[in-house]
Amino acid sequence: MDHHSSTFDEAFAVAILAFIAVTATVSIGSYRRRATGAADVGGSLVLGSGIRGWYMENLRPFEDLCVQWHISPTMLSCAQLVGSIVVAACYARGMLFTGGWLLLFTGTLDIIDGRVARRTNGSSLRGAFLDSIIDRYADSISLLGLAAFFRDSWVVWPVLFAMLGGLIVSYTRARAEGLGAVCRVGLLQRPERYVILGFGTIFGALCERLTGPWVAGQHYSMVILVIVALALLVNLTAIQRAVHVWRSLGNGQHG
Amino acid sequence: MADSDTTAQAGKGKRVAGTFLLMLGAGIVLESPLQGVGSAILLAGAAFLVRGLLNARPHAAHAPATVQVAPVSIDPQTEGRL
Repeated sequence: MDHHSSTFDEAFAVAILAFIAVTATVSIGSYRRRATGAADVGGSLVLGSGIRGWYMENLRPFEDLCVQWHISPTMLSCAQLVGSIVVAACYARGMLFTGGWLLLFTGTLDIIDGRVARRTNGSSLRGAFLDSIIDRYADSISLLGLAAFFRDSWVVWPVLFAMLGGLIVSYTRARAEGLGAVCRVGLLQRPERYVILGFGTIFGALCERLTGPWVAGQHYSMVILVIVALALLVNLTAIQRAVHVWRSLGNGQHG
Repeated sequence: MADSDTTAQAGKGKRVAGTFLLMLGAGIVLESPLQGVGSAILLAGAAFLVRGLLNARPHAAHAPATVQVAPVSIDPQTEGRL
């Protein structure tokens, strides 16, 4: 980062943090004013139904635009894939703040495509299948970018472990549904993973500019902590789902 | 009422888009050598955000009260009892 001085970096990072603090305060106010039960969405332990509903209400104008401009869910899925490649490029070049912000954007596209499909009666088996494939690629590509950034460090292993866990979390559900079981449990599902990794890299990048390394002399200490926590929690989620499916299948015979 | 809702939705969209562009521009300014591009995106985001804030529907507590008066027919039998 030699294109401007560290003093500029620090001042700019403080300004961004101040903007985030103001935006968060205003958003909390609007979340509290929000009518309860305005949107019927599922929730989880990490991201409750209230906060999901509030977020989707904020996305409503973009859903309307997509419907109005005849942007199909498949186009949104493809945009998500392209966005993930950009995220990976940002991460690999060390642009963790920009990558984290774009990661939240690609996660948002994933939410919008399903809602647009439902509103335009565009839901189809082929669309759902393509969406699942693109989701897996998008998840993995973003983390591959982070692995490329940390390729000379031990941190590459937690990143790859998180990627593996994410794939197994999704596979467990798909396999369970193939066997006739329902599997919608899980501590860290995809939205939670996007939020944790996105905000983790955003704040980690800002923290690096303000404090430097603070855990065992490692640069991007906060990002590393987030990655390690993510790797552990994602794999815990995979185990949680496997146990849930194991119990719900009982002693049923296959075939 | 519908116009008010549409304006509020448009304002919300501009605020969200403005915040997205502002943060994206800030990231590019902070982390990449493309200072000009980042600054342009940041300023575009700030402009959207300000326009969105100007379109915001005032909070109910601060909104001017609107009173709808229904047409009244005076019934000589009930007048005086209500």
